[in-house]
Amino acid sequence: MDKASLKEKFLIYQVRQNKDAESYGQLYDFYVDRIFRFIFFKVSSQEIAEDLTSEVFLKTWEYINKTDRKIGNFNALLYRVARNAVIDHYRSKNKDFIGTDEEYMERIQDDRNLEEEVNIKIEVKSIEAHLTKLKEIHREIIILKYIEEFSIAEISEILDKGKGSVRVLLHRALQALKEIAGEE
Amino acid sequence: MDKVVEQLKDLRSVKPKKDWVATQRELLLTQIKSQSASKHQSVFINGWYLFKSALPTSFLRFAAKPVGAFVVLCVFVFSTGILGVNASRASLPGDFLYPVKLTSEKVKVGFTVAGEKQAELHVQFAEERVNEIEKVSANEIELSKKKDKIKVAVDGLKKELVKAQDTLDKAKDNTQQKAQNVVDSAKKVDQKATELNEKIKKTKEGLSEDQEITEALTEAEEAVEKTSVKAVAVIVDKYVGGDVQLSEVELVEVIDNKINNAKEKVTAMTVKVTEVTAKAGEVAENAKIVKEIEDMELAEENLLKESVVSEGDTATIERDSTDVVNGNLENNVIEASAVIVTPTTGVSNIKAVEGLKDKPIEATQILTEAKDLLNHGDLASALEKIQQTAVLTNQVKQDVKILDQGLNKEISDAKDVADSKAEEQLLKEPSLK
Repeated sequence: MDKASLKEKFLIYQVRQNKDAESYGQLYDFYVDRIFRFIFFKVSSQEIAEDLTSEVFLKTWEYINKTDRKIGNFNALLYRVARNAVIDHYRSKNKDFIGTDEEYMERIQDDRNLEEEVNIKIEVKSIEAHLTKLKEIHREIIILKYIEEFSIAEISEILDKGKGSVRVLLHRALQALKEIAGEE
Repeated sequence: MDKVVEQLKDLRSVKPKKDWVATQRELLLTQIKSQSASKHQSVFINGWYLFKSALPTSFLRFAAKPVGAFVVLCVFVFSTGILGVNASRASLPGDFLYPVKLTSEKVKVGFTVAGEKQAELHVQFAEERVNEIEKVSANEIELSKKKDKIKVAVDGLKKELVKAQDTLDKAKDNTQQKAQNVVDSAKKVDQKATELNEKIKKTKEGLSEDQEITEALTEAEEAVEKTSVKAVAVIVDKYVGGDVQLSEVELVEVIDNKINNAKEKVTAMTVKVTEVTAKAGEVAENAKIVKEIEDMELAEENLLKESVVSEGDTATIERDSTDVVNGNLENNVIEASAVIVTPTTGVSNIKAVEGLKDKPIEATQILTEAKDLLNHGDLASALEKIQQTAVLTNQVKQDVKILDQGLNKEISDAKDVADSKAEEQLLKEPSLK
């Protein structure tokens, strides 16, 4: 998105200044596939992914038009909104959970795995299955790095963590995945 | 591990359904359109946000730092005139925004490529300095403050003029610059300089009570005149080189004008030399008196000792003349008066007065030569002579100043000595008689 970034900035400007829906539509076109995929690997359900994706784009529109802050990285913004949408989604299902998103994501593994073990197709050796067995934070970072192909810097912006933390997390995630893959 | 990564990459093929994407898009757009009526914001804010959003965040962070802010300031100072530049236009020396004004001038020069245009700019700024002087002198503030501000402005004026001369010189020598452009700029410079000297003269008259201010303004005038002569020299250079077509008659007239200006300066110089010579005479008188008293004392002592030794001081008394120089430029003769008090203090002053004696003659001589050359059509040499005269008068001015100070000191010293001697005499007399 290097060359497009100037165009992207222009589109964002149009959206903010003139509330130009068409410009936002162009942004949607560019990002929809990726956001969907990102959410899908987190929730493993197409329907839920679809719903959440729509929600993300709507929320982002509202955010852009509400805030005065400069939108430095639209990409990172979208992913952040997406993450939060997924977390909120799970929260709404687990209404009694009180804690940070991180802690929640540590827990999600247990709940989800139960759910998914029922839903999942019997492709036990598929990587997708391995992924679902990971803790949410590990899965997420694997998705961001290897599926979405973000750089460490970009990931650190999306996750709002330092680059060092990102590297450590990634390493641990890969270890975890390796273990799971090795077990099968 | 690679296998895992490979498999992960395969997962990239996951995509949402195309028709879902399309439907969602429409839905989304409808939703957002219904949410908002388009707001119209002022064009200015539009431009600002667009500009801001187009900038990378790292630049904005840079601009937030002092260094970055300064850089941005410089850019804006030139381009948009915000950040106090317009407000600073009216500022005077000592005002808070004055440095901003000076900076904006520097920036303007930085953006001017052509050398001769730079010269014009510098003269413009010199004019601004003169305007500042006028405003300051018209202001209702105490004289000492006025003096300081005027001095600052005069300093700035001199600097600008020096730069104007230098850039004009460089433009003259730069073969890539079109001669006509250079000449046009030089003409403008000369014209402006004449105007400026008129203004300075008026201000001088208004503030004649303060000597320091008058001096500073005179220096300003001289700097302006020098610039004017330089401009004419550049024009002549191009003319003589055959690079431009000019009316020789006009040029001759201009140069003649400059010679006359120089003559005025020589007259003023002569007056100063006269004054200092007169003073030197006064000092010599005092010295004589003191010497006589000393001699008397010595003689008395020696009488008492019954030995007669009268050694004159090593220095000799020359003509003791307090002739005043006649103001006639044609025959200037100054007679030096010797100044002897004691070898240590007097000698340097003697030499100085001797040195000055001939200067007015010399200066007049040079100007006569200049007129001659002009009449013979050698414009360039005539101008050179004028410039020579200026250097000479300046030097003389400096020398006179130093000499004057030296003499003042001697006078006061001698007075002290004479007073104390007189006292002693009074005390002694009863016993001697």
